[in-house]
Amino acid sequence: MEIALDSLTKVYEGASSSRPALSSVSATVASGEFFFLLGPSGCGKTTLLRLIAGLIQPTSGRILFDDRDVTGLPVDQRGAAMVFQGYALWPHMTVRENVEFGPKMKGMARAERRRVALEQLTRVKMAELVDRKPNQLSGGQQQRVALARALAAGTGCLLFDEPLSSLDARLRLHMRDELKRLVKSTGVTAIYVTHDQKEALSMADRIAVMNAGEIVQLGTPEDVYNRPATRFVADFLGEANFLDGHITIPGHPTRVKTRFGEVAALDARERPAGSPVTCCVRPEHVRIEPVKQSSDPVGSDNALRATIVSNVYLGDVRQYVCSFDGHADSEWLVSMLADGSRGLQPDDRVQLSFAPDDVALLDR
Amino acid sequence: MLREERAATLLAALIVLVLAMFLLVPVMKAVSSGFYSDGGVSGYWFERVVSNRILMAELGNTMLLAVTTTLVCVVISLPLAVIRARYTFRGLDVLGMLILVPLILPPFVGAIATNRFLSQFGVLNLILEKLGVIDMTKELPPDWLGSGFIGVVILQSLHLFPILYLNISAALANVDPAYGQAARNLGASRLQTFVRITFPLIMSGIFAGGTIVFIWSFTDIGTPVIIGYEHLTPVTIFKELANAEVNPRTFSLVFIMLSASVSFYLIGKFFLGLGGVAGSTRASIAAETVELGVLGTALAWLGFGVVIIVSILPHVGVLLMGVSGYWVDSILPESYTMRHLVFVVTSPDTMGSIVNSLKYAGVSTLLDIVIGSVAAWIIVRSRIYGRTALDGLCMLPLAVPGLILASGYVAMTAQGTWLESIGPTRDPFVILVIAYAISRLPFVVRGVSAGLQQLPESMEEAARNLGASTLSAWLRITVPLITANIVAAAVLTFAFSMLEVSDSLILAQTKEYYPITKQIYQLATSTGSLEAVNQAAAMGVYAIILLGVTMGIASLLLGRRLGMVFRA
Repeated sequence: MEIALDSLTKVYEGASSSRPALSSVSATVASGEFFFLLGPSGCGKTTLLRLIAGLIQPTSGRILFDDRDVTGLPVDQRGAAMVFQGYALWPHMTVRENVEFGPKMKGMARAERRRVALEQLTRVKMAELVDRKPNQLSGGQQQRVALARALAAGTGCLLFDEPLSSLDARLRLHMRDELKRLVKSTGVTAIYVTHDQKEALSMADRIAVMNAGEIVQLGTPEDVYNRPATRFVADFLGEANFLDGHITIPGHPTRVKTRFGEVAALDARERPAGSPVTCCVRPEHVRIEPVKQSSDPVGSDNALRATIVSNVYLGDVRQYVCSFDGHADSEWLVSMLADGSRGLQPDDRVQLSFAPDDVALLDR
Repeated sequence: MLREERAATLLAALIVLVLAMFLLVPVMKAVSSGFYSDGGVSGYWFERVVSNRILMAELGNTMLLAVTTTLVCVVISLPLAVIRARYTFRGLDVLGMLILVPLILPPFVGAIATNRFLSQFGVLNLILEKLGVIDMTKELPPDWLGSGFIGVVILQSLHLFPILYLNISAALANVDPAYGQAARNLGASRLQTFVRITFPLIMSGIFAGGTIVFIWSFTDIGTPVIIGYEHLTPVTIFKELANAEVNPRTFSLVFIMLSASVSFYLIGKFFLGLGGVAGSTRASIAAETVELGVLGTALAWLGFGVVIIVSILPHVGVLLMGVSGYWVDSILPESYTMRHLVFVVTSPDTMGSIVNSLKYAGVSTLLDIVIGSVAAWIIVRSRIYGRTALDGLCMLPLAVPGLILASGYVAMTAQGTWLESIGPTRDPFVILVIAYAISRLPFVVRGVSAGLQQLPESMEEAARNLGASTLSAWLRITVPLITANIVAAAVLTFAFSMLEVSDSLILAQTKEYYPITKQIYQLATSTGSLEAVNQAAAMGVYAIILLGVTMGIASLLLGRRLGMVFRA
């Protein structure tokens, strides 16, 4: 099922802020796609999911399922089964009764809905526990039952509202992989809300990064991580280093003049000379080398002189905070795989370098 | 969702209409009747009332009674609530539940036995003589009841203190333990911490509970009339209305009572709003309770035990009176008999009153459950405008005591009006059912609302999301999950309606339609038969058994959640 969101706006009546919860959001989710809505608290991602589910009505805009306008359809006729945050498993019903509920509401015969429920419970490896009540299950098991219940509804799309947020960190990591496998095996279109960027990057086919009621970037995990469209996206999806400058020579690569040297960037977007931009480089894309003497020649483009401010050992990686010469307010983070040594020390002079392909140019 | 909002708006309008017709209109009718003279609006009767020294003295007595009862309730409940909140000991759960039992034992019934216990030649003095404390042969023994004022205070306090206990407990639970720990950390003793930190933070809870107790005591008719302390405004109003004396002077008194009740209700709300500091705090750390040793446990048991035993003592007296054959000048009855109990179920008057009460209470409970559940759903789940106002309107009966509501119904159904046929002197089934239902509506709305607030909305949304209609989601998911609250509210409403006093005494004037409490009142105050008081006590026994059975059923249905009944 293809889901199209057309200029969706939602303003909550009586809300203290005049800002809409959603401002003219448009996107298309392809059939069978695992689509993520990622953003900080209050960005509108859950509002968008609840609009798609039919739990709330948009102030304006349309929602189309396979070109069929479902905007006015009430939630019970919408056909978009949801896995709720905290699961919302009904405590007075057994696992089987919970999973059979959707088929029952469709008027399915008892034998048939039993078969459907068992099929989905087998899929999520919960067939052995059909007669248990939800409070007799672990968090992971409840999560599986909630998924089976949504799958058993037989809708063309699945909606997930931060389904892993109730689990502990270790189980969450395990369930990420399992959930992705299960959803992809069904072939249904799935929309997943999360504020956890690692969850989104590791599971999504595509991610819509949201902020202040708008989608600020939409793309594959690699796109949004390596080519963030805005400073917000770069910041929200992990650590990023920034350096302001002006374009001196547009093209491929684009040349940018900064306070600390020339930067070459392979950026697809055309900008005229003189455009103010911010160069964005991920910490793991920066190489760090000691400079023996300050008179050593500076290397070619994308090589900047800095001084080590701190050295933090994190087990698998070592992080350096570096300051550009004479500018303590402009600091970069460099991550590298840790080796057996103690690494570079504070006040050591270093050269930071990075490939033009690893530089994203952001408008200022 | 628009469809649901339309339905919610329509239902809310219906509830407002019902409350306007049966709560606001009667009250306004009662008030306006006090300002109507010679075919026009006049303050004549009001001036007559406020310049009448006897009536004003009665109003003073009523105030004094309510203030004393409230203070006694604070003195009883505060230490118990603090013990419950701050300490753990064996049997705490059982005591915590038993301490609420007096709330369901009507003081009106207990009052029947109070004279027997506290009069000059009553059981207490007989016990004191047996212990050698007093000698009745040399001097007249003390009259513990005095004019009856003390007896009324004792009975009302022993009935009402659990309301304050519950409110103070809730307030204590809302005080972040870190506040107290910070004070202790800065050198305050336990007592200083309580006085300077905890007590100011629970003042809102004390005021909230105190307001309810005050209004209840201020407008109570049943206990004073049975005890025989009649120099009170509510009793005067009752006597005049019961004699079908529908005159403007009575309604001017009703206006004064209503003004005082509403003022205290608003003051309570105002203090609750201003003093809501404790209510708005969130515990940053878990509460730490101190586990009591053997001596501490014994003292705690003694404290709770004395209050519980003294509270149920009048009702034990009622049980004894109901089965006593001969009981004069002795601590316990000298002989026992079943004839009073048999009389109750064989006499057409008494049995008829039980059947009447079952009908009135049953129908009014049904109405309350339907209206209250729908109102709770609108208040908690809908997003319609005015739902907060609806909540306030549903709670309004708490500020309008049965006495005032009943006065309104008397005014509305007075002779010559088109509603005369359902008035107190004819068949009062309709007005009694409505009066019971309106008075108990807040219990159901609060009880069901509490259940809905505890139930995540996602439970219903999940059902709707899987294809259930609003009604189907409500019936299959919501109702089963809040059954405990609905049953608790129903049990509470039914039990309180069965033993309702003010509306029953005023609105049932024909023997054929008497409810239980009116029949008990008739027997207890009858001078025609020596055994009438015992027969009244026997009816009280059935009332207590009814409450016991009702609570037993609730206990079977709810198991350990029975405590919710008392917090509904």
